Amino acid sequence: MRNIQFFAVFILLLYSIDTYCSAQGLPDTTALPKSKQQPKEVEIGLYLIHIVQIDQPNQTLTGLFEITMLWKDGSQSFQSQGGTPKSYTGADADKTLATMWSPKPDIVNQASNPSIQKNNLTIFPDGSVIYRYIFSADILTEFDYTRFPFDDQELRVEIQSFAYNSDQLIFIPSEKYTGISKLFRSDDWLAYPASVFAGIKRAFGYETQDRSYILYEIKLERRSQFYLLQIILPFTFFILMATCVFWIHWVSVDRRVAIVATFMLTSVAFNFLVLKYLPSVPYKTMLNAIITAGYFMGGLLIVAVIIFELFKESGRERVWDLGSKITRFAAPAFMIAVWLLIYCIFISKELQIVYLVK
Amino acid sequence: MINAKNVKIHRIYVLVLLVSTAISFGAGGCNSNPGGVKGEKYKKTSGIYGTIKVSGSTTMSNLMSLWCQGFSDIYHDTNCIVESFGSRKVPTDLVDGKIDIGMMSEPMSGNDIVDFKNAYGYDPTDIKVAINMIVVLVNRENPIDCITIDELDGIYSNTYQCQGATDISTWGSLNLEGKWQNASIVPYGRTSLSGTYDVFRSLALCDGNYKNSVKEMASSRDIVDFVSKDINSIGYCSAGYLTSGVKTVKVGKSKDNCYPPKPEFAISKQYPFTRNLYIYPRENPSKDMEKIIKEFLKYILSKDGQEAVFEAGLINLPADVISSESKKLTN
Repeated sequence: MRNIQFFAVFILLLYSIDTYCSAQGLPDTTALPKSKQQPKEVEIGLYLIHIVQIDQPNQTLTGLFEITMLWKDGSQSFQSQGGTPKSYTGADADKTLATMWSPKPDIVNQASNPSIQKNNLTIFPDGSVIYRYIFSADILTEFDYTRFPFDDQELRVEIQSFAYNSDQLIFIPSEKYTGISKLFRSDDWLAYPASVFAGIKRAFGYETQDRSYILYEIKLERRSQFYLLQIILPFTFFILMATCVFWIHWVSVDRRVAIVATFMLTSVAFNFLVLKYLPSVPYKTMLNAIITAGYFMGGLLIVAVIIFELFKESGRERVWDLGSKITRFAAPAFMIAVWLLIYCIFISKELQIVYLVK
Repeated sequence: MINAKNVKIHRIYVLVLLVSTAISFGAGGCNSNPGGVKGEKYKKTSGIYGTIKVSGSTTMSNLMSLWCQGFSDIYHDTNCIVESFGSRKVPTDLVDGKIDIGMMSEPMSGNDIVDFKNAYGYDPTDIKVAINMIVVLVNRENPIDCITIDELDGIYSNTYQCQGATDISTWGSLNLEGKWQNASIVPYGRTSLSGTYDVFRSLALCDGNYKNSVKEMASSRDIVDFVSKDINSIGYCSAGYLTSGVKTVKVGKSKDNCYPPKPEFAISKQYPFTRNLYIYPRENPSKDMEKIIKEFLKYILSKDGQEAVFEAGLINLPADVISSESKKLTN
C-alpha cells in the first residue's frame, strides 16, 4: 500500500515539473518549425578557407571551413522598425541558438570533432535565420597519390542530418555560400570551384530512416612545378649525361663504367634527398617509378658499355663501333620511350594499368 | 652502288626509325576504348566557366556526378550543383528557373510540357542520354530464373491490371519448391518521388496500384542492399547498382520469352523493362543557350560522356541515336 502511495506521489511530482516547465514557456528545441512545406528545407553552403595540412599516411586533411545555414522559422519573427535583424556572435549566438530550433548537421567523414572558431547568428524580422560558423576540422580523405606529383585530388565533405530523417528535413545546396574562399592560399595546391551533390540516402543500419545528405567535392590540383624543376628535370639531366659515355669511345672502359657508376651513386644520393618530398604511401607513385626507371637505365648503360667492350676485345671492332654509335641516340630515345610509358601508365585516364599493378 | 655516304644515311634512317618506334610505343599505350563506346571525342573550346545547376532523377545521380567530374577536369573553372530528389521535381524546377538542366528517368508528361511552354514560349527539348534497364532482382540464394509480367503484377499490385494476373504472396506460387514453398515474398520498391516507381508501375503493373505491403526505398542502392540481406525478398531497381549479394531474374511476357537484362536485349527492346534516360535543358538549344550548358550537353553526347554512361553501369546510346540527339543541339 505504501509503495502505491509512493508511486502516486512520484507521478504527481513528475507531472508538476512538466506543468511548471510548460508554464515557464521553455521551448522544445527539437520540434521542427511549423511550415506549409514538408519536409523542412534548409539551405546549406560550405566554404573552404584554408588547408592547414594534409596527413598523407593517415589520409586526413586539416582545414578551415565555413558552414552557412539558412532556414525560416515563423516562431522567431519579430516587429522591427526598418527591418533591422538581430545579430549575435560567439557565446551570445550559442546561447540564443540553444533556445530555438536549428538544423543539426553532422560532417560524416570527420576524423575528430570540429572546433568552432567564430560564429554568427542573424535573425530577420520575417523569421529567416542565417547561422554561419568557421571551424577547423580533420576530414578523412581518400586521396590517391599514384600520379604524384602530377596528381589531382577530390576533397569530399559529406554532411548529413543525424537528428532528422528526410521526411522531416532536407538539405538544399546554397550556391551563394559554397565554394573556395578568396582567402584561400596554399603553396602546394590550387583549388577549383566546388561541385555539390544533394540527395537522400538510407541511414546505415536502419530499415526505415532515410537521411538527407549533401556532398561537397572540391577539386585540388597539386602545383607540380616544384617537383618538375627540382627533381624530375635534374634527374633526367643526370641520365642524359650518363649516356655521353658512348660519345667518348677513346676513353678507357674502366673510366666510362666509373662515369655511369657515379651517375648511379648520385641517383641514390638524390633519391635520399627527395625522399622527404615523397608521400608515405604503401604503393608506388609516378615519381617513384621515374626514379626506379632511372636506376634501371643506369644499369643498362653499364651492361651496354661492357658488352661493346667485349666485342672490341674479341676483335669485332665494327660491331663495337656501330653499337656505340647507335646507342648514342638509342639510349636517350629509350629514355624518352620509358618516360612516355610511365606517363601513359600513370597519367592516362583510359589506361588504368597502374591500378591493376596496385 | 653502296658507298660510305649511303651507309651513313642508311644508319641515320635506322636511328630515326628506332627513335620514332620507341616514342610511338610509349605513346601508343595511351589509347584505349572501355566498353567499346562509339562517338566522337569531346573537343575542348575556350571561355567556358560557371556553375551548372541540375536536379532530378536519383537513378541518374551517379552518372551526373561522373559527367560533372569529367567536365570540370576539362574546364577547371566549372562546377555543378546537383539535387537528386527524383524526376518528379524537374518540371517545376525548370519552370521556376531554379535549374539549368533536369535529369529524368521518364519523358516529361503532357501537362508538364504545356506548363513549360507557357512559361518560356517554346517546347522543352528532350535529349536522350543513356539507356537504362529496370532489373528485377532476388537474393542470390533464390533459385528462380524467369518471371513474367503478370506474375510481377500479382506480387506488386493490388489491382491486377495485367492480363492473367492474380494475387501472388508466396514463392510456392511461382513454382519454387522445398523451403521456398510456403515462404512469403517480401517486395521492395522505390518511393513515389522516383521515376523508376512510375516506369515500373506502367510496365509491370499495367498502370495499376502498388500493394501497401511493398516496402519503399529511397534509392536503388538501398533496394540492392536489403534484397541481399533478406532471402525471401524481391526488388526492382535501376541497373548499375548490382552487387554479388543479389541476382537478376529474366523477365518476359511469357515463360517462353524470358530475357536477361543484357544490353543487347535492351537495345533490341526484347527485354521489356528498358527505358531511355533524358536530359531537359531549360534554355532552347537552337536559340540563346548559355555556352557552358551547350558544351556540357555536347560533352554528355560525346565519346567521353558516353564512357561515363558505361562507367555508371548504364547502356550507351547507339551511334545513330547519338547523331540524332546531337542534331537537337544544333538545329
